[in-house]
Amino acid sequence: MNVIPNNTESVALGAITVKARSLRVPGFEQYFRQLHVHNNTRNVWFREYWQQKFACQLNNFETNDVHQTNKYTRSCRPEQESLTTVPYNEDPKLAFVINSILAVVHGLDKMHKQVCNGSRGLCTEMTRMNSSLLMQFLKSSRFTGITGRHIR
Amino acid sequence: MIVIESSMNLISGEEVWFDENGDGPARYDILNLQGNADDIDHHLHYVQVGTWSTGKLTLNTSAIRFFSDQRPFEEINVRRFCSEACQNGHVKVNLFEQFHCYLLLKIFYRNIQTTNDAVGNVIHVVMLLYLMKQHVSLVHLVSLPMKIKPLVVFFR
Repeated sequence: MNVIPNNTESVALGAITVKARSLRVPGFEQYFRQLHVHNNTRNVWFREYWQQKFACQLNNFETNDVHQTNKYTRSCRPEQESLTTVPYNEDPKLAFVINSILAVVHGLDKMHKQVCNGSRGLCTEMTRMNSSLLMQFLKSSRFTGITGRHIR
Repeated sequence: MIVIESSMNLISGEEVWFDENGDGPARYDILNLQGNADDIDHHLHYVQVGTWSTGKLTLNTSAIRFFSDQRPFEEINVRRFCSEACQNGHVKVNLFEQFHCYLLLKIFYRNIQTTNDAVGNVIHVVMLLYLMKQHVSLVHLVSLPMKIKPLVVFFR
């Protein structure tokens, strides 16, 4: 947001600029802060992130981690480390990423409703994914994005 | 279920859809770079003065502070020329669509007239090697003007 090109301040003053509107994702900070290396095993990059964030080395109990190089010698102490108090700076593209995934989800849902006739689970007609067809459903989807209204 | 507006978002909707070209809704914030009244050169910050949402412009013109609203034009130190002058012994080369000064290092070959093309090729090979050493990509290299063939090697 506050990017002003170096040494152009004297002429940039008063400039009108345009940027893609990016709203904060409601609840994301809360979600992010409770992520912990103990509870977020789903994300395969999270251990690496944790080590970088806290400049430390996690104990590698998985043998396939052996080849991983880590520049930190200090051992991590996950009991004392936490994302709850670290500086938080939300990437302005976050909402776009989430909405993109939601668009695919909506497309898949529409496709499933039509191709599988509302049956539960994956039907045989959809096991061979017709990506052009998915694209059609994706483009015809319309939904409230992640930064839109809350439904509680 | 109760539908309520998000507290941080007074713009209702933020709907996602795709037009006939597959493009999503275009939404932009319009910002104005403003300085503090007491310290213009520092603390520059962007003030949102409007939005553009798929064709609908909302602009708070009274919030806009143009340059002349903030500083007299005479105060600004704007230099008006195409590019900085080169030092002695340097020559301008248009590289990356910007002007750089290259040092005129060495002149090869005495019989310029007879072997113009051959020498030109040699020079370009030398330049190529030098630029590769400098990690200048070939994409940039093709923008090198071929007019700078007068049998010199430019070193930055």
